[in-house]
Amino acid sequence: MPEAVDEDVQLMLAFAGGDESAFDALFDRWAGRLLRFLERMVKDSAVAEELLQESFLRVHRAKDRYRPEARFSTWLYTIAGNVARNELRRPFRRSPHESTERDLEGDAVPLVLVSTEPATDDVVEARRQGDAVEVALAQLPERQRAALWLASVEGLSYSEVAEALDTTEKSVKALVHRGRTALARQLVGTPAEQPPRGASKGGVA
Amino acid sequence: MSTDFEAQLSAYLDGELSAEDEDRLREAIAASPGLASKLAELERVDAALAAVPVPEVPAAVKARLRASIAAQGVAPSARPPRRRRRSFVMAVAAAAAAAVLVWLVLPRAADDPLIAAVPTPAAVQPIAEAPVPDAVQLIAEAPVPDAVQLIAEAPVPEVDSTSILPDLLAPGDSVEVLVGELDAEDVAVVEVLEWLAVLEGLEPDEGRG
Repeated sequence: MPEAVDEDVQLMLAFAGGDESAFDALFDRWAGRLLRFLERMVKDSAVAEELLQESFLRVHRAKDRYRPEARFSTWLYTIAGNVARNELRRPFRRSPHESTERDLEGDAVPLVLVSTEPATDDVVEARRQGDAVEVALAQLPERQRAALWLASVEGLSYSEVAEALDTTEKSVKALVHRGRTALARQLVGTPAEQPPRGASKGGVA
Repeated sequence: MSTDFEAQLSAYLDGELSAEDEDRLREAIAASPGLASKLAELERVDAALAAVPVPEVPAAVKARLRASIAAQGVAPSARPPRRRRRSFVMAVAAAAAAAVLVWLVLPRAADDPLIAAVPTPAAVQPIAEAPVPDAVQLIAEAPVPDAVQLIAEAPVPEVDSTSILPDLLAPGDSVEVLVGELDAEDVAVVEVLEWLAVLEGLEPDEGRG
């Protein structure tokens, strides 16, 4: 539910009124989360950083047109979603996982999506699950991935996700359901919902 | 039906069910261990997704953003053209060179071990000394009229522009004659002829014993 007073909306209105520091504050509040979303969408951290920059540039340009009709986050994810979609539709786009970062040998540095913090046993188990979910998430169709992420992680309502992805609530409901179910299957390692083709049934480690 | 309830689990987790549907689903979950375990699986997905850390945004991103914003008011700068205009003659000549070489080499490669050993032109005897009537004949008869015509249409100064190669080359001419006629710009054409000389010149002398 939208909060009665959306602090981000206040900042955006202040920015529209000429307060550049409000824009900086919005960037600092949202850049990390938006980058995390964009990384999941384009699967390349360097490209995601470019798209993050592009998204906030659009926010900056749109300040005169901004109307506080929705939560700021919905508006921001709509912009980022469009930016990501444009990138993914681009012909001759860099293939996923191909980073623009180069190591000393000139080879592309693979995107590291997992945490590099020191590991305790709990963290190891959490990371194992985290790695599995990242891999499974990356395999989801783009719209399922976006819808599930926005609903589950970013806490957007289905109507807000529908707005951000320019689709209907009904469609969002189906996308989120399919995406979440697919990930659950991957995490558990059980066969798909539909009748298995082979005779094998039960968990595959 | 349990299938209906199962389809509602995701919306239930997202708080998107009506109060009525939510109550009915809760009852169903309480009554069905299978449904409850499905719900637990979906909750595990949410927990795993929520554990994905928020990345640190490199300071450079904000700096670049600031720079882009600062540049916004300015009209798009006159960027330098992406590529320099290449000489049309050179481009055509290079294309012709490739065509002629491919035509010349391909049919022979199968049975001619020398092709693999062909060295660079520099390593070969000077062109002027090479008696290459066969090569010239090859050019005159070469089935590459389009390429030749293209060359003919290129703005080559002081060269008969109707049909350069056939006119310049008669059977028996040496490459030297042709080189003398060509403008210095036509290096690529000369290179083709050098290669022809190389390929033809090598054959009789350097066959394996």
